[in-house]
Amino acid sequence: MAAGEQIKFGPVDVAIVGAGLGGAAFARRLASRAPRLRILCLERGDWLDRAQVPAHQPDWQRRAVEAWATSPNLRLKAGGNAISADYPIDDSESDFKPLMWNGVGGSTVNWAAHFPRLHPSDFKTRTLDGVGDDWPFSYFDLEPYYDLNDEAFGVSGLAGDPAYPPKKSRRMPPLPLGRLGAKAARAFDELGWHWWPVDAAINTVAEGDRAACNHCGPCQAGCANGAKSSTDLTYWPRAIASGVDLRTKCVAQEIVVEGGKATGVRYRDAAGRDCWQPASTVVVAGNGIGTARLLLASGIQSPALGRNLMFHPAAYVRGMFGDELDGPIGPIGCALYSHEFYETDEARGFKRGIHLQVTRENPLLAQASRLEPAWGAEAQRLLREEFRHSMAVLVLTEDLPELHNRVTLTDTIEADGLPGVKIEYTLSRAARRALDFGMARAEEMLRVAGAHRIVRVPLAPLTGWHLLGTARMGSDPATSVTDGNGCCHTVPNVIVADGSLFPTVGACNPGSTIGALALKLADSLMGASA
Amino acid sequence: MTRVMLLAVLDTLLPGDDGEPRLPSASEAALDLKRLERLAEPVAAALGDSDGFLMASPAERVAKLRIVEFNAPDAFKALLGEALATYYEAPPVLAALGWRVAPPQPHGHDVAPNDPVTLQALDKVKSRGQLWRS
Repeated sequence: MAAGEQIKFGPVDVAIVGAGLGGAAFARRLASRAPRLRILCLERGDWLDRAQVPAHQPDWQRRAVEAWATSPNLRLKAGGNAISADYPIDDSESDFKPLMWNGVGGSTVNWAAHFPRLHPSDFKTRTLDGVGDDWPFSYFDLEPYYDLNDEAFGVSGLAGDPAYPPKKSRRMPPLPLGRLGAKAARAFDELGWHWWPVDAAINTVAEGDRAACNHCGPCQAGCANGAKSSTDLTYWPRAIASGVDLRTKCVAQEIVVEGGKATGVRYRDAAGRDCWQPASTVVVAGNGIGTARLLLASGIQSPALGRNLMFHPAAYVRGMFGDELDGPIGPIGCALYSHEFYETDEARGFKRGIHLQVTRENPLLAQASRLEPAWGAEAQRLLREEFRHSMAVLVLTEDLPELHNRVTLTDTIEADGLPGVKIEYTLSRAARRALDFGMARAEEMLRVAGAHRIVRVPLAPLTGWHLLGTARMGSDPATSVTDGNGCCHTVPNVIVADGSLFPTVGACNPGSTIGALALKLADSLMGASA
Repeated sequence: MTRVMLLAVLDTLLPGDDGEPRLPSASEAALDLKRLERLAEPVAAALGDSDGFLMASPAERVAKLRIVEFNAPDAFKALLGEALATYYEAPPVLAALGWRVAPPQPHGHDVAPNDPVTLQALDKVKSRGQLWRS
């Protein structure tokens, strides 16, 4: 073959771009329902080698904020990570910094695995509250897929939470609340507020070749023993066994569209060669930034494409206690949450609601790095007071779609061959009000629990996990990118299958919903139902 | 920057304390200074008179570094970040703060199992009935 010549592969029925949560769930479901289909997935990064994750290393705290940081920009600044094929994101005009993983498993590799569902009301915010937009289907349409996704991930938790419609029994008992969680539970109880142990996609008992969680702590730098579910451990082994071809270190460059129809994907392989993969259907699942970037770079037209970028605006409140707590150990996304204020109550001065989550604490270095003052005797006095004596409450609120919050391409061509990408995001006044309300409630709980000092973090920029809304579903091509089946209005054989589709986002973590949604979309492609 | 000067700067950033157990200062914590040396150069340049810094009282050293922090924030921040990362992974520091020196794996940590009494409180939550809207 001559240098520079394009490598051409035989056609497939479905080419999926991105092996994260959406792509993996879609691939597995489609392969199980239609075993004769030729299904391919192109993943820009590589498989995780668990022996490499920081938790095994003496300098794990440093690694977790450098080459294994949750932010791709920080990983690149530290020299890059050989597994996560990151690209720089200009976030200079965004209140939140995007976090993700660009390898097999996507951001499930370094997520906290907190696994709540959205509420039924989250699917009809326009009808119920006059804000945002309704989803094209209801919670109850998605419910069977939530159950399927739960089954694939193996959820630990407790059924019976009255904040949700009844859910099936959780397959494993909940993660331990620990001293920290038990103290918070007593305070919520005293206040008469709702609380519940988290649903987590983390094994609390060993299952198959996967261990039970041993509460080591740094989940967000990759799980060392495989107790935390990620799609490299859940969907992918099954999808590959079903015949799906997963090609790693392959960076999609363009979805080629001819006459209003996608004909395939042009990509760069691990050796840097230009490759052409014809496909009858192209599925894009690269998260709310990566998906928009590829669709925009491919010239796919939609006035809503890249717009309406949503996170879950986040704040923290920390309480300091005289007695020793066990914050810095255990999975970071535990221990419990409260949806006492999740549903709209207009007397609060804003619509929609908040999610309060009592989380584990950060490691020592992260705690030392967040102090004010940052150095000197006073900083070390504060650290003595806080370390193993603090409880953090994460306040999340619902973000609503706003056109000016967006993903755009830059004029630069990045090292991966694609145009550069920029995000612009400003916290809305409504979200600010909701966060302030949530911080006040968190402080109230912490005071009841016995905190003698409170620190508020009104905005937590490094919480930009949930990259949502930039290729939203809807019926109107003027205001949405895809229909309710994830098919692009202008190129119907291009399907989006990730959180980009969310018309609205609720106030809690989207992973469970992204997985369920991708399963549903795969069935839609087959004309089937759960 | 000389080693003596670097340790003087680090001890001003991370002086340790006389708590129980005693938290060592940076110079007492046997830090690997290799990464810090390069980052210290621009801070040294911003400090100017190194003899003056070495002869200053602890309070005066703090004041001098505050000026550098204000005038050369990027250089100062880079040195501080590296100093924190090096110091808070040093075994004597971890031990003084009651934290395990060995990495999180393979042993993990013990978290107390759920207390049935605490979980029984969920009956009160359940008794409130449906909290979701549709």
